[in-house]
Amino acid sequence: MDDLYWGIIGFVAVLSLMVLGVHVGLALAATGFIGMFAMTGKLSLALALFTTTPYSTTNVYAFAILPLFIIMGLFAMHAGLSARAFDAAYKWVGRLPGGMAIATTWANAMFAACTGSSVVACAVFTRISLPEMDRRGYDKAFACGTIAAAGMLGMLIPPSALMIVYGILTEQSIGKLLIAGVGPGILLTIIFTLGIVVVAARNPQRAPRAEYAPPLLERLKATIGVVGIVVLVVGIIAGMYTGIFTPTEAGAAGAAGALVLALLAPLMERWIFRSDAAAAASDTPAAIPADSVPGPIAPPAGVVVENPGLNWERFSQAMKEAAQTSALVFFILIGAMIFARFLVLTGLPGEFVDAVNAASIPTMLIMILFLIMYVFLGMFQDSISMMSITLPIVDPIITGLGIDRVYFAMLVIMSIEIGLITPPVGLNVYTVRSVAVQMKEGEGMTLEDIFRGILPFFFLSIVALIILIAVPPISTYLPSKMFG
Amino acid sequence: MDLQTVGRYLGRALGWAVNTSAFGAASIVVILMAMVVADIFGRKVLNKPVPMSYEVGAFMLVFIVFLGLAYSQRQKAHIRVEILTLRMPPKIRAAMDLVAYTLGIAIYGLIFYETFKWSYHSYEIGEYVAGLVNIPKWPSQFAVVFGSLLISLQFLSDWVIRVADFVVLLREPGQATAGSLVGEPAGEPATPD
Repeated sequence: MDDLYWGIIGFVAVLSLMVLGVHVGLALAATGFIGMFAMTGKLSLALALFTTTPYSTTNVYAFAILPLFIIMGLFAMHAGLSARAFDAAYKWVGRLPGGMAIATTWANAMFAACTGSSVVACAVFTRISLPEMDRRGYDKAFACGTIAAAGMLGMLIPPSALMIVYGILTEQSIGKLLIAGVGPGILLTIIFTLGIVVVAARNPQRAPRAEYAPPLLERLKATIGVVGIVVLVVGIIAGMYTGIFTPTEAGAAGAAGALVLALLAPLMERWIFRSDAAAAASDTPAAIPADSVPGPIAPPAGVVVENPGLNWERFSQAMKEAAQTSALVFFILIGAMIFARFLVLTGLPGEFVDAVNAASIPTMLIMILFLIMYVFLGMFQDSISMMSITLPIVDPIITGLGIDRVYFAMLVIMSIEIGLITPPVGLNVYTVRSVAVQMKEGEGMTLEDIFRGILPFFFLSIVALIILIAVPPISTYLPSKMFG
Repeated sequence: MDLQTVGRYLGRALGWAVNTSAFGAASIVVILMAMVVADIFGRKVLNKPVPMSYEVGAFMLVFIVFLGLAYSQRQKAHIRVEILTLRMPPKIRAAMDLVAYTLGIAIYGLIFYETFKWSYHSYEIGEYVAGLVNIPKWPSQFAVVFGSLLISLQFLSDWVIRVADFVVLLREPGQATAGSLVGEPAGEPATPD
């Protein structure tokens, strides 16, 4: 039998095993192993896949960036960063139509600069912003939609776990991919902001406007709460950009910096935000200014960061989580590498490249078809396994067509993220709902409610994707100027 | 001692090994962070980099991943596509789990066997990474061996629990009792919803 067919059978086998509920990493490894044996008829060749691949996939200094950025995100969370970012953002933009939703988006962008996970962002911000938006009379579906959509920023703005995995799978510079995410991340933030303003201006009942504008002093004070993290994030991104840090070193520096911030957080809360906390504690209707007659909207109380700081339990939990997450990402990547080695031997990727080149289909059309595929897959599957299965074929084709790989990576990640907010399995939406239903504000929320609330954001992200496709420099300018 | 008691003790021993190894992985994350920060500081400020930090950093990642592998399976954290499994009746779901766990035992068992031969050979001939200090390769290679063994045992233990469930389900349909026979600690649902 032609080797090529083994490749196609391999794909079918992986997908079937996965649908049957076999762990993604196992489905990939099993198919690679059995496929190799079936194709070559030599058990020794198939076993050889198991000998060195697990070691060679993990024994790479550049890949050690993953656990480091994970602990950075966890420390930043314990530093109370998400609540502080929300507070600061709200005090500055709260007066705009849909101010709370904009603040959620901006705080997410800031949080995304410390963490690389959309799911974590969704869970954290459901707890922080949903009660605040609910208190101000926001439509709950819209509020939850905002949170789930803003979670998309987590995977775009560096550090991003998805970019790291993309870099590992396609053997590209992880640093360049991380830096490349800055442009698309900012673009998406701007588009969401404009979209929220339009939605809120047209339907004020979905996002009532705040009547109360905090004085400048209060705004500046709220800003102090995020200075530390902004300095840290700008520092590591600039460090990577100028080549002072390798990406792995940026991860370690970021983690150490976030650790310091988390240790200082209780002091900061006590010294700087003590009065705010007291105000929030006495946040009774009496605190509403008498002249704001309709007044369902309470003045923004100081956000109380619940118990910030680190103790031994949180610290060890963070470390354990970093180790566990690294283990489960590499569990899939080891399978992916075994599968990819088999796939290369079948000649399927090369054959595909030739076929695509011979078929003289417009480059743009092929690219858009791939992106549609990713949006579609993203509706059913988690991002990492989806990339592990498809990239060994898609990346050579894209390279063969002469498309910039960094540019394409950004488009893929954006498409995958759109899949994450789309039914039936929009992971972000599931996360928001599962957290929301445990709170009194989100009682009885259904997935349909949130999908309804997310609809405007779905169209906005499609707009962002189209802009990204049309204007490659948004993705490629920064990495092209990067050191190294 | 009957079979159930033996099973319970073995399960407890495995749980201890898995948790200890996860603790090891977590500690190495801390050491990794500290080492890289020390390296940056040493290179930029003292002009004295930590010797072999790139190589050691890579070794540490091997340890972090493989020591954490079994723990992730114990927490049922490894990623699966559940779009179909969650819609299945308990009996079929248990059967699907058995297929997955069987593959897990087979693959990581083979990886254990293969990497053991390979690492032992490397140990015998004394393979090392050359540099300022020569670092032997075998400790990090044996992390793969140990981690693969541990996760195949964890798959085996999950497999046994699922078989027990399966038997119960066959006898009394409609009763999902994950791990009731082997005394698995509560709070670890075999199929998270």
